[in-house]
Amino acid sequence: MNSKKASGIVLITLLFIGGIAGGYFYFSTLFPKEKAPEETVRAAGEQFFLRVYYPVDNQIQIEERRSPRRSGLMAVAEATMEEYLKGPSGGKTTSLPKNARLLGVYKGADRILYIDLSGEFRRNFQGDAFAEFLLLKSLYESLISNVEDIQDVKVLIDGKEAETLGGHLYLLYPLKDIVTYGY
Amino acid sequence: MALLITGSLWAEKKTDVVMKFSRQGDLMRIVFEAEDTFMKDTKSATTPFQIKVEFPGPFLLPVENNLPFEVIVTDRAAVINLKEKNEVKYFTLSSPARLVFDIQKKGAQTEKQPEKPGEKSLQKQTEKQPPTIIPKVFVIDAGHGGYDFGITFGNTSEKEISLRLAKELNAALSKKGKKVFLIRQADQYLSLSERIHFVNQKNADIVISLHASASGNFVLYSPKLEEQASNEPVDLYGVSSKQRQYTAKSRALSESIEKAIKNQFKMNIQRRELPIPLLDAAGAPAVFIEYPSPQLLTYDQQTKTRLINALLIGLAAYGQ
Repeated sequence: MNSKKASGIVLITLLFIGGIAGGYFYFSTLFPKEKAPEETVRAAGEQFFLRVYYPVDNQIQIEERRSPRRSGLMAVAEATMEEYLKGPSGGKTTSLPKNARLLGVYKGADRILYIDLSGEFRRNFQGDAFAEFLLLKSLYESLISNVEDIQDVKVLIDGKEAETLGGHLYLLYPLKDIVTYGY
Repeated sequence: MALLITGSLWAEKKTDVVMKFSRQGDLMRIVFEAEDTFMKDTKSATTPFQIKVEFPGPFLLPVENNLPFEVIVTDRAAVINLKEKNEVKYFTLSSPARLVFDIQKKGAQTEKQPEKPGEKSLQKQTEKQPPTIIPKVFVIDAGHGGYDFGITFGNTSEKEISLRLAKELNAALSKKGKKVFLIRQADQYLSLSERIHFVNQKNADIVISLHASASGNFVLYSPKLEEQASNEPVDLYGVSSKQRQYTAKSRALSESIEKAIKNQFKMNIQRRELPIPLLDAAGAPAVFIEYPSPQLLTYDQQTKTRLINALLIGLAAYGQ
């Protein structure tokens, strides 16, 4: 009697557990877990990948760069700029000014990312109007594609607004409108 | 440390130099004046087309507008480029210390200078096609200037070549009785907003901006044709209301110049649209011309004449 009672309890317990497992399986397939939005920065162990755009030979080229893992938007922006300022790989011809340094990155309440670059970014720029356009476009695209939750990018030179980078285009305003101008 | 600070302060100190200019008939006189100790070590060299004054240290030299010669100021020297061949004599005077240059047009009426074969054919070239240009008032913008060198090519730079071309175009248009305003006439920095302000002050019929391309091609930029006016309260990179009414004309101007350059140089011309502030804000038909990199095309007198000729032909074809 006791063994019958015990086996009954075991059976009921197994049925109960089976029911829960079946229910879980059923509902998990019915309502799949909401996937996290596709991350622009893909983690790979202690490193992550950045998509960096460079002005190369009158066009823009994309390179995937590996960078030590960082957390936070500003850290990702800094990493992106560090890779951007290193220039394209393989000694390609670029209008990226030499010896330019990142002085700071700030995010405004208006979701504009402010990139403060050293004077070399302006002084060492050697290029025509289209080269200036590609330089600004590649900078903008690099940041927009890696840093989440920003709407636009504005460049400062030595902590101040500069009217122009190379004497052809304005640098006074955020870049989105300029870099999406017909291209 | 104190020495370093003193050294850097001393290094930045600039001596004031005054340049005076006067003209009497065919004789021009240019005088450089500064303190005695500074002028004592100043050196000068002259050729029939150029005067070069080398100062012993950094100096500050204000340059007037509308001078009949080009003044290029570098760290330690002032170079005067004369438009014609001249006889140049110079004197060193004291109290106050000054360098005086007397410039007399060489053989203005009496002597006929033998022409080099190239010069003669070039002159004929410009004279044989006297195109009629309808627009009357022109603004010419020589790109960059002052500390903004533009693209540098060995020992020359975009700012210098653009200024020389602008002056030659000015001379050619003035000969045809046109009123021409140069945005800059010397090696000075002007911001984009200053240039735009200048353009819109002059009520020009045509605006031409001259720059160098980094490539071996001519590149012509015109403002973007906008089908609809922007309703944005602040359209930062849009074509301004001033330019909007001339956008089609700017494009036509660009096309005329493109054809003329193509004929003259037998090269492909690139056409582009970019939000170039000077184009977008000009209240007149406007074109932004990039001439091929001086590393790939030598800007000797022959090339400059061909380019000016092509521009004149393009301007004549525009609106015909």
